[in-house]
Amino acid sequence: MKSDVSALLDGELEAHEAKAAFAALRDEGDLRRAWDEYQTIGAALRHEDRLGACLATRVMADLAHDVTVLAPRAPRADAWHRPLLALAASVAGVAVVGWVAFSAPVSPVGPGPLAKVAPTQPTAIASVATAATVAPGARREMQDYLAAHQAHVPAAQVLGGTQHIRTVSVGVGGERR
Amino acid sequence: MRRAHAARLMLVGGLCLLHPFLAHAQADAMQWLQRASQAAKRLSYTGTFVYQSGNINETSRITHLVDAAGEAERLEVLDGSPREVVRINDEVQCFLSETRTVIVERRSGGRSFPALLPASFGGGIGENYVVKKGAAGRVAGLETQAISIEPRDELRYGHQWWVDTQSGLLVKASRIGERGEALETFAFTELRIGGPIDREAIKPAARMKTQDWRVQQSVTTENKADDGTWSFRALPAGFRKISGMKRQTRADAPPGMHWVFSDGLAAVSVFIDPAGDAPAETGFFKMGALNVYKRLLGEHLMVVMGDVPPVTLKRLGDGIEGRRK
Repeated sequence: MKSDVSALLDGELEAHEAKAAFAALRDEGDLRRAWDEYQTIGAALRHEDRLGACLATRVMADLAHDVTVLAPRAPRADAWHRPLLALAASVAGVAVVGWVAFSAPVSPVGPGPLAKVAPTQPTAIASVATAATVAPGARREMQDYLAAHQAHVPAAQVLGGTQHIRTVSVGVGGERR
Repeated sequence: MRRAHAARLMLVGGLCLLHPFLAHAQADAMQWLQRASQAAKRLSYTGTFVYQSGNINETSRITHLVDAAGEAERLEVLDGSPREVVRINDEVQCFLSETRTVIVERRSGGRSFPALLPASFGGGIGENYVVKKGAAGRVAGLETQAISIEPRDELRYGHQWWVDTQSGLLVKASRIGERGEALETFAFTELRIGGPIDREAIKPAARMKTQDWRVQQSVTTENKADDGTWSFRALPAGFRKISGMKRQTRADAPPGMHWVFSDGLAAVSVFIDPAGDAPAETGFFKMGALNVYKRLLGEHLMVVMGDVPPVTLKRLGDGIEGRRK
C-alpha cells in the first residue's frame, strides 16, 4: 500500500486509484506516517523550510486561513443556456485533458485542499536526483566517510573490488568533479 | 463484490499451491548468489569494466590476486583525473591525485562481520528480496546467467546481476530504482580469469607519490557491545546491525562512532562525530550513487549513508537517540 502512497505523491495513479489511496490514507495511521515521511523528504529536496510539520496540522492550518464555501448555489430560473455551457465545458475539458497529456512533466492533480500542500513537481522519493551537492567545506570530510563506508560494506563480497569505484568516482566535487 | 472476493480467495489458494515451487526457484537462484560471493573472493582475475551512475561514466582496470598471502587488488580509473584503490587484505588505500590525498581505511578482522563470511552470506536476502533466475545471455564474451533481485518493500532497491556460468564471477551488476531505472551499473568489457598475475600489478602507479600528500588515516577499534551512549529506537524493517566501532580520525579530536547495518545486501553506515564549530549542513545529499542523510543530534553530527532509498536513511537516522547516563 505504501507504494500506492508513493505513486500518489508522484501523480502516477488513475483517478479511481487515487481515490482509494486517499481513503486508505484517511483510515490507516501507518500510511499517514509514510505520507508524512515522503512529504518531509520531498520538502527537504526542494529546500522548503516547513520541514517536519505534520501534514494534517498543516492542512488544518491552511483550511483555517482559507475558508472554502462548500454549499451549492441555488439554481437560477433563466437556465436556457445551460446545455450550451455544458457542451462548451466538455469541449474545454477535452482541450485541457489533451493539453495536460501532451505537456510534460505532468503535475499531479490533487483533490481540493490537498492540492495546495501536495508537491506540484514529481518528487523523487527513492532517488535523490535533485538533492543538493555537498558544500565544498564538507566535501573532504564526506569523502572520508564514503571511504570508511565502502571499506566496511558486506556487498564487497559479491561485487568484488569493483565496488570501490564508488569511493573514487565521486571525486571531491560531491556530485562530480 | 462477492465474486471479486471469491476470485481473490482462488488466487491466494493458487499461490499457496505454487509456494513450494516458488521456494525451490528462489533456493536455486540463491545458490547462484552464493557461488558468485565465493568466486569474488577466491578467484584471481584481471579485467576492464565500465561504471555508470548518473552523469558518471568511467572505464577502470581491476586486478584481483589471491595467493598464500591472502587477497590483494588494485583498481585504476582510466578516465579523468588519475585515481586508484589498492586493497591488501583488510587495508584499503584510495589515491586521489587531484587533491593529492590518500585515504587509508582498515577493516577490523572478518570475525566481526558475519555477513562477510561465505557460510552466512545470504542471511536476510530471502526475507527482504525475491531472488529469481532470469535468462541466459552473453556479457563481455562470457556466457552468463541473469539473476533478478527484487525488493519486497520500498526500503531497499532492486538488483539485476549477470553471473559467468563457468567461473561464477559477477560480470555485470545493476542497482535498480523504484521506476525500474538503473541507478548504477558495473559491467566488465573484458575479463581474464585465472593466473598467473604478477604481484607488481597490484602496486600503485609511480605518479601516486605520497610524500607530500595528505594522508587521511582513521584508527578504528571494534566496539561491538557498544558503550550504551546511543540507542537505535527504530531500525528499518529487515536491517540488523553487523558492526560497531570507535573511529578516531584526528589525534587531537575525540573519537566518533561508526555502525554498519545491512539487510543482507544493501548496507547503511551511521557515523556520529562531535559537531565542529562551523555550522553543519543537514538534510539529504548524494555522494555519487549513494544517498546521504545528515542531522544534528545535540552537539553531534550524524551522517547516515548507503545504497538505499532516502526514506530508509531517514527512518534509521531519526530513530537514534543519545542515552542519558
